[in-house]
Amino acid sequence: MFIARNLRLGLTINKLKIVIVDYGAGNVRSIQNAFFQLDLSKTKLTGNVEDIETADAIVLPGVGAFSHCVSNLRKSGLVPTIEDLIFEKSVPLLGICVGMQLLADSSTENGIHAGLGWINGTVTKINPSPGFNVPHVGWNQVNKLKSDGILSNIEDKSNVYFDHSFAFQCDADYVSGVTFHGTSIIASVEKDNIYGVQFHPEKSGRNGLKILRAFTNRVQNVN
Amino acid sequence: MLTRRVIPTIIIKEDRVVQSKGFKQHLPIGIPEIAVKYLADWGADEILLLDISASKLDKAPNYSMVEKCSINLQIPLTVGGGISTVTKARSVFNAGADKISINSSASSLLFAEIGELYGAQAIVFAIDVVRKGSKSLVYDHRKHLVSSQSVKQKILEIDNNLYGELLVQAVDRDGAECGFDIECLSKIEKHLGNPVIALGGYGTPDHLNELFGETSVSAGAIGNVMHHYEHSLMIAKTHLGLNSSIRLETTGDYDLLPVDSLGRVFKRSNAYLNELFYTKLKKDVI
Repeated sequence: MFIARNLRLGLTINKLKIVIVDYGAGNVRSIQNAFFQLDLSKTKLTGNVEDIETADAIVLPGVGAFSHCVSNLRKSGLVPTIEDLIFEKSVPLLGICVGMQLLADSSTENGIHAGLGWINGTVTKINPSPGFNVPHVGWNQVNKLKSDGILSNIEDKSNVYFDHSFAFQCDADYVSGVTFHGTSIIASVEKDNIYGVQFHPEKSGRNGLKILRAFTNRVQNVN
Repeated sequence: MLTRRVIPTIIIKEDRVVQSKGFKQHLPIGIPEIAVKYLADWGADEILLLDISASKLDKAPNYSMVEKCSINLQIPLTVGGGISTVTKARSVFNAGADKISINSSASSLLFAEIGELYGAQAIVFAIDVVRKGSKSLVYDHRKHLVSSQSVKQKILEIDNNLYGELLVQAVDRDGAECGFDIECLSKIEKHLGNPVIALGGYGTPDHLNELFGETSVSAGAIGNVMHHYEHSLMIAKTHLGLNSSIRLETTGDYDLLPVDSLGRVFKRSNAYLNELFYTKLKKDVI
């Protein structure tokens, strides 16, 4: 409550409509709660096409196995609607955790599965090495590679919360942040209006809220 | 570098927070959501909510309690107790849990089913351990019995790709404040590729220093002691210092606080308090 009050004092009322795509992918309510903390009270968790069509920004969550997420998302029939918004109308999109991995061309989790192919790349298992257990779980520092974009509001080497066994691999041009766990792991990607974060901003305390704020600020710049 | 986590563990018995000693004695503390809120503000890296009465009374987890605890929480929440089926697991996740801890009902089948939906990283495999001489044996908390099964056998029962983390709780150290069971923990973490969470035995910040210094466990879980005084976790973490690679994010100054052997803060001298003045901090706008 204390945090919520502080936020409200510092900001003007924001009426952006953020839509969190609900396609049956695990617990995503915490993402909605985080946007409420930012006073974005019009944030909606929905799988309704009409709602998604009128979104100012889209959040693509994802929890669990890649194959399960991608098949659920395809079954929901929402992919063409989202593609139209992000490619034709430049609506910003943020993929979180497996939601980011879905942006890739393919993943090797439980066999090879095709992703959405919105940011060229692949998703592969992190190899455990002595002292670096898998899953990569806990608070790790993000090295910022770009000063603008999704990490613009946090300091370099800020702690954020990760929990994953598979990681994104893509062209360095798209990478905006990396972390280290035995090997370098891509923490965030961006390509035009498409963003992805491997960590959980909704579970990364104040740093996480600042990252979500940077994303919604981007929405205002577009409009 | 991945930081080592300090995880406050909130023990719930019949919907109330309790302090637990030796798995037998339970002192009431208060309401779960209030404990969660304060501990999150005091620098917790994650919260572990363990209902010790659910499995024993064959009750389902209290979903509305989980919901109240998670609604304004911006750090991860792990919930354990009474999760015996995929349906119950789903309800706990829907109520806002990020991970679930499974002890009595742990099986390859259940883990595989839950992992399919939520991913193996969302499952914490919990084992209660009792030391008998040099042996570490599994304890059945529902029957209050030490089994003949060794911890190693229990861990080998389930493929370690089916769960994310392993929670090792030392039953005989519960509430004893004598330090973590370093010997048992280091044996486990050396042979397991998964992150290990140590629970049971924390009394003073030095115990965490010892745990992080002598083993590579991923996290130290603290139970009773953090209810003893305000800002308990921040004070403990400051005591560890940044050398042990922990996450320390605060605008407060805990640095030179005089603490007693239990890590509790002494009152400052009157001379010091008279000299004290307020510092204006730059507003942290989000």
